[in-house]
Amino acid sequence: MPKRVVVTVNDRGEIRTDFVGFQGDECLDEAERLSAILKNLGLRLGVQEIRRKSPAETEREAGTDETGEERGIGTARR
Amino acid sequence: MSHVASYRTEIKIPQVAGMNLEDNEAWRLLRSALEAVAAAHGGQVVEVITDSEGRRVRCDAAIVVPEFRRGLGVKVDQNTGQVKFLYDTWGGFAHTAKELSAEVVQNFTALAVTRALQEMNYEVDLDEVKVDDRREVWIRAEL
Repeated sequence: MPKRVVVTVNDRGEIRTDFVGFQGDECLDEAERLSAILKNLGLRLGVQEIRRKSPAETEREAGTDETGEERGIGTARR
Repeated sequence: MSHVASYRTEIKIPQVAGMNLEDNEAWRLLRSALEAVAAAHGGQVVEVITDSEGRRVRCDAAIVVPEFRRGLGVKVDQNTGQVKFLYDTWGGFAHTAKELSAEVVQNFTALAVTRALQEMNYEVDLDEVKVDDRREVWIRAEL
């Protein structure tokens, strides 16, 4: 699964980040890297909330559900 | 594991002390944000704003737009890098000035995030959308 980052910038000067497809604590390391580069570019981030995704959420993003069946275009269901 | 997070943001130009602003990458990014907002409103980037009595105030950069001809100025504290917006709202311009400065911040934030993700080797796409009549910028990046 490709690693993706989705960032939403609102009109109140706040951002929301969504890290998808990372393993273990990789996403937190990636977020720290992003934060450090942003600081050098003049944008400082103050954390409001961080929420780890549940295993179910992570599995859904990966394209498998909790029963272990793969979902995808062209996959036949029994 | 992946996560979602939300942050407030603050613009603070790093390493400004004793430096020509035009040589500072963060400042150039902020200036790009000002240019984008000026263009979106049919205005221009200048270096002086005026107050309600016509007195001129020099800034590091400013935008003048048709709906706020006095101008919205930007000043960088040379010691701390703190960025301040300067404007005179006398005569009912408070809302307009605040909206303009919020737009500059949003543009700068989007530019900075895009640049940072590109430096991290992501392929980046941007979209501007309206959610409940409020402008959002959606940035999608993939490795």
